[in-house]
Amino acid sequence: MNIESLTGGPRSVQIVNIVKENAHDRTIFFKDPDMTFSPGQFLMVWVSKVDEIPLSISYFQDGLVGLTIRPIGSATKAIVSLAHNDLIGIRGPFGHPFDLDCPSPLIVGGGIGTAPLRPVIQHFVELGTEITVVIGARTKDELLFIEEMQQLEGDGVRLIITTDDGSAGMKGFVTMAVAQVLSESDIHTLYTCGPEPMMVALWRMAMDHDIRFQASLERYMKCGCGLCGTCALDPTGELVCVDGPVFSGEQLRNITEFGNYHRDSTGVKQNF
Amino acid sequence: MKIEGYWLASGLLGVTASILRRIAENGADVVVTKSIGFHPRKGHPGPIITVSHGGLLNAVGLTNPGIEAFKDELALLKEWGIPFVLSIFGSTIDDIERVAEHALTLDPLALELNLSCPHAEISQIAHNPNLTHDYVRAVKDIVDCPVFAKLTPNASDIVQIGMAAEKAGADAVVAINTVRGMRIDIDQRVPVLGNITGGLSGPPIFPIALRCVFDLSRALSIPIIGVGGVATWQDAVEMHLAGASAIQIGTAVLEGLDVFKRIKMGVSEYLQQEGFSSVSDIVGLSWRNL
Ligand SMILES: Cc1cc2nc3c(=O)[nH]c(=O)nc-3n(C[C@H](O)[C@H](O)[C@H](O)COP(=O)(O)OP(=O)(O)OC[C@H]3O[C@@H](n4cnc5c(N)ncnc54)[C@H](O)[C@@H]3O)c2cc1C
Ligand SMILES: Cc1cc2nc3c(=O)[nH]c(=O)nc-3n(C[C@H](O)[C@H](O)[C@H](O)COP(=O)(O)O)c2cc1C
Ligand code: FES
Repeated sequence: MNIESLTGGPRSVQIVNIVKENAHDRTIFFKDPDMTFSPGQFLMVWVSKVDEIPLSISYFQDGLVGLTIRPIGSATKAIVSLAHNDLIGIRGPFGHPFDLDCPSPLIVGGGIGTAPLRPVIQHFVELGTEITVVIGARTKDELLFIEEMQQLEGDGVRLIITTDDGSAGMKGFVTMAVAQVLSESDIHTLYTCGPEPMMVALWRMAMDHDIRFQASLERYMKCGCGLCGTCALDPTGELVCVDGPVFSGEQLRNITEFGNYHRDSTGVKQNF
Repeated sequence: MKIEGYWLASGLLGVTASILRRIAENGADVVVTKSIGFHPRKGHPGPIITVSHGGLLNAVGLTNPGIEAFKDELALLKEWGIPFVLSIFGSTIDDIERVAEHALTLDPLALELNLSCPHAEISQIAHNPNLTHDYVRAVKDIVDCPVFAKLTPNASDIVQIGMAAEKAGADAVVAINTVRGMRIDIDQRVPVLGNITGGLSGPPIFPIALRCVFDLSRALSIPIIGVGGVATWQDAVEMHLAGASAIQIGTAVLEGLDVFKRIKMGVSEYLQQEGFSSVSDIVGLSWRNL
């Protein structure tokens, strides 16, 4: 039994670059030349004296790895305040990635959920697949990767932006934009990550249109590798860290807690 | 209840009924729940696990939703007919009695008293024969299901502790919990675990667990439930030969939930080839042979 590799080979890496994505969110970059990665996978990231948390990989190219973080609590605030050359601990990558076998993808990111979708978009752009990308946020200040996506627009990317308050793009939820896309285009798979109520709404739309669905779920994670059980789903006992975070529409059909509740750090149920 | 077979050890995965059912369906004869206390408890900050010298270090810190919230999970286990042992802890005798009282309404096969977590404030109980005796006796006095005492290898004399538990009426002892240890990151030059120190489990502690089971088995007349580093059927056979009637498996679930089936099959082939009719023929055989 190789516990070292099963627990993600804990190691420290040095931050080589920090990019300001919007008013609050930052992407930190480090080098990890031996890492292998599939879009949808995540790392457990340790900030000394604070905590260790799961973060999706939002950039991966030639040994350069990026994580995009929204500061909401102690660990995420500590990460966005790190500086060039600071060290962080990482384990992983972990998790079951997106199934990228798709001729006509629709990619829908809500808020910080856009982070794990960036490598998915990158994958399709490299293949030359025509894709539709919908990026939504509450307000303009929370949109992610907009300039980068706008630059890709010529390369077969159709971009739709929505904000709840109308400060950029269409005013309203991403679901509204998605309804329009589904009514006028032939979509094979809907890829998504974002707030769970949003993903539930999209899942229903995908079922109605009989298209495939791939969503990345978020649950409290302590170990990231199938030991602690905090991320187990009802009633199947699937572990989000090992069996997910990406689940298909068919799998989600069996997950009764999807869209209804999750468990907090102690294991107590919390409704969405 | 019969103390036999291959069980899920406490604290690995066992925080919801759904995952415990999945483990039972994958071949665990009994599942032991995460240790449950009276109040919800967040546990230590992360990292709560790391690795050293082929072993796992953990400092989860007894994260649990509290017995009240956990009752829903136990009720499901009951409904689904999953054989479970409930692990409980308390930092005072009053505390553990309160948890035990609540637990009884859900009718577990047995209560396992965690007297021995090496990285929480309860760690002292199983270092002291008198405290061990008092905790076990207090719970025995109020419940009518079997009570197991889980012991720590960090005690200076585990056999004294085991004898105290037996005297207090324990129906079995579970040996061992994790071995106190730590890890330092040489790049950041700080301890890795959020709690600084933690408990070592997995293959590196197997010889320690084996020694404890061997010594306890010779000294006590109640059954010993062996746990610590068992990952293969050969380990399980050794553990039985040292004196374990049943075996719990923890860290090895990392490799996949089929570990229970693999070990069970290997042990039964061994018994057949060596001409034994059941596991009980080899329990403690190594010291009986001396
Ligand atoms: C697979 C996965 C990928 C993620 N990817 C990203 C990402 O790319 N970028 C990003 O900004 N965020 C991501 N998150 C969310 C991120 O892990 C949480 O926002 C972070 O843990 C909050 O920690 P905190 O200490 O800053 O806040 P806290 O104040 O501790 O917590 C705020 C809230 O965050 C959630 N949370 C806290 N700790 C955890 C934990 N260990 N596991 C899961 N949720 C937790 C809880 O819902 C909590 O109520 C991801 C989560 C998961 C499960
Ligand atoms: C992540 C983790 C959490 C644990 N939590 C508990 C617990 O809550 N209660 C308990 O009695 N033992 C707990 N243990 C100890 C195990 O039950 C077991 O005694 C120990 O890990 C040795 O067995 P193993 O080497 O097969 O893992 C935990 C161990 C690990 C690795
Ligand atoms: S985070 Fe520990 S099992 Fe998934």
